[in-house]
Amino acid sequence: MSNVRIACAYAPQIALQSVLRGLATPHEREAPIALPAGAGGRAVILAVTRSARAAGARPGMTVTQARALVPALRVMQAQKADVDAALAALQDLGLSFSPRIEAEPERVFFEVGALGSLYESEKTIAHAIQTRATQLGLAVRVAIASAKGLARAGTQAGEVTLIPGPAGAAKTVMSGWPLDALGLDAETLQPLQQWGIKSVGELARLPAPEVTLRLGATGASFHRLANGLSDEPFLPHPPADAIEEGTEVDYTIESLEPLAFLLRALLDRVLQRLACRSLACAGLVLRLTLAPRGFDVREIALQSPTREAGTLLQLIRLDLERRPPGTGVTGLAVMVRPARVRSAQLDLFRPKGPAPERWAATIARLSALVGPEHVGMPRVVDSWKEEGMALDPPTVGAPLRPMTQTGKLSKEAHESDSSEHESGKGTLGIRRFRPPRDVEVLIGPTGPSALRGKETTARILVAAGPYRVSGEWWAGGGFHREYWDVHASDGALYRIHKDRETSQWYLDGYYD
Amino acid sequence: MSAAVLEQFSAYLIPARRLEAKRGHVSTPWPTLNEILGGGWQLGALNEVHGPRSSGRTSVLYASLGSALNRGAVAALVDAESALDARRAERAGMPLRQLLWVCASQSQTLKAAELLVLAGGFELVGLDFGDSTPRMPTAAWIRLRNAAEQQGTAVLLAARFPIAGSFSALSLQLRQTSIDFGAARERVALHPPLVTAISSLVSLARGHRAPERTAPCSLVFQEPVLASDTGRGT
Repeated sequence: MSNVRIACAYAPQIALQSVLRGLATPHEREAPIALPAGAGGRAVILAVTRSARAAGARPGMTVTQARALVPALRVMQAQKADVDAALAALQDLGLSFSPRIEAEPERVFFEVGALGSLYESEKTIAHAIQTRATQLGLAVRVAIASAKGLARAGTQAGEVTLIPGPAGAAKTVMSGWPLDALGLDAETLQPLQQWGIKSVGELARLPAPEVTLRLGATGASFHRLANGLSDEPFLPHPPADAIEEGTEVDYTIESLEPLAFLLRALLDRVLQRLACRSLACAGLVLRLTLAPRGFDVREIALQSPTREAGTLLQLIRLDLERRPPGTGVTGLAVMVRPARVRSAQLDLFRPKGPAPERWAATIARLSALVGPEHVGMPRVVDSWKEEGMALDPPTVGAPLRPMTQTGKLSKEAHESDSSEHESGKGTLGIRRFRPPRDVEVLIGPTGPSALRGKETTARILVAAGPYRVSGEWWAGGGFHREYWDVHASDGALYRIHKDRETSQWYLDGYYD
Repeated sequence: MSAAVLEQFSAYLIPARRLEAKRGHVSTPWPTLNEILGGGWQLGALNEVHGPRSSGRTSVLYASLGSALNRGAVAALVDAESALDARRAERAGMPLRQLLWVCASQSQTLKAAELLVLAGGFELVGLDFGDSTPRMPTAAWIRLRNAAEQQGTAVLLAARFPIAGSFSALSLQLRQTSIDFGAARERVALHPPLVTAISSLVSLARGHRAPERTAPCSLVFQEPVLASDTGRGT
């Protein structure tokens, strides 16, 4: 299996499959469903499901005819967004096995020659491809051959077709196939049928010069294919970066719950496709089609890449609750930005930290729980205001940790940590009220003498101050404050300040 | 209970001290406090520090987090009141760039802590409940305790009153004994810290070691003074 082997996954009736992908339950997917070419009873049916076919419905009938035969027939329209998503999912199927893929409508080709060390045989590979396709909501036929043209022909012959490498062996395998398997155009097929040629083997036995003389270059190409030879080159192309899944409904969604139901299905599909590429979602764009017209496009930021549908759904729900679309929704699409989950080298000299992927998932879950703006690393901002601080997004991958390579504390950290604690001393902390609470302050002869506010009402036993601070006057909207530390009769030690411009007092917090 | 029954069951019982030793500890910066706690905050368990306003519970919480972070461990703070003062925490030696800070509402606090603990690899997760004493569902406490046990993480709760009850392995009570304004009152115009120190008495309220056998210790929380502060006042 070291030589070139090309697999072809063929998803027949991709439009019908795209409709089935959008159905939530297997029960719905097993119902008789028909896909018409247009609207109304006279529309011609293009494709039907197996159960509809078993009940008598056939492609080519009108909707009215089919309904007369199958009263329970469900007629559904394929939306362009659904079909595009199904085609993209087919490409992702190829990408989950090989980075070298080539796509064409309803088919994807990819190289599987190097998978010999992972799978026992080509049959196992073919079954793995079908299993993965089922996870992506697609039903595919698979063929593996030494050339692209042979693999394409193989998908017409059966559910799983393995064509051996040597041309002679391939010819033997293909000899019993009907001519249709080669995908002949009508111009080539008609003369062959007139000559009484019905199988691939019969075509292969015709003399090549005579076939070329009568059927031209196209005929010669099909003749070579029948002999197990294919000239068609395999031209792999890089896949599109963004992954999009969408759906449209023929009614208006007014509330969040049904929208979340559809979103969940879309997210599951998107994440399955990301998993095919071994990637995670680093951010997503949600596009809602509004009724009667217009779009609502919103970007959902993620602190770190994740593959958890529940987390993404929670983030979207939070965003929708915060900014409702304002009108009914008739369609939605999710476009995700893929990213690799960063791996990290474990360190012998550091305590074990969270695994990068768990860390990313945890950050995403926390963001979904409390909001992304409430998770991060605190940072002191360069300001004269005491309370100035900001929150930086959490580091992606794993938390930063300050250690020297010897595993000992860095000198600075060690010095700040050890000596004074020996004698039972520590640094006094303060708990801030955010924002500072309004408070009434009674002023006595030596300063504040009583406090009254929502947080406390107490006499002031000791007051130290004032400590005056002003700043930012050079940038406009400056501040002039007068700070006091007050020991109140409730036992607490508060920090209060007076805005010297408005004479309003504020309770900043208390020492604790 | 007869001696025979005791002998029979002793094979299945693990003495509390052995269990404690097996779990391991996260040491606090204060040797005296570690002595009371039997080595430090218990790993794989809920630990609690409580006391009224200005008793020093927040200082103990921040110092424990800072100490863990400076050792290179991973630690996080779930803050129910967004009360963290970054400037002071940094002055106290806490490496803020390494601290994961989660501002959650009271009802989200335990869930956020559980998510953090379940991520694995956290040595210490601090929960700052502030002044409120929320009534949390028992199931939430059980889940958090089980997660801590499973991951070997020390969870440190700081609240005004004991809130974890029997779910906590250790409970430390702080009581303010004095507030020292020192000489600051006379020279406030030149010196930003108006208060100098708060002294507190620390005692074990709950733990595997009998509280009555552990003598309380005294901690002094001092106002950090930096040279750069001088002259900021006008």
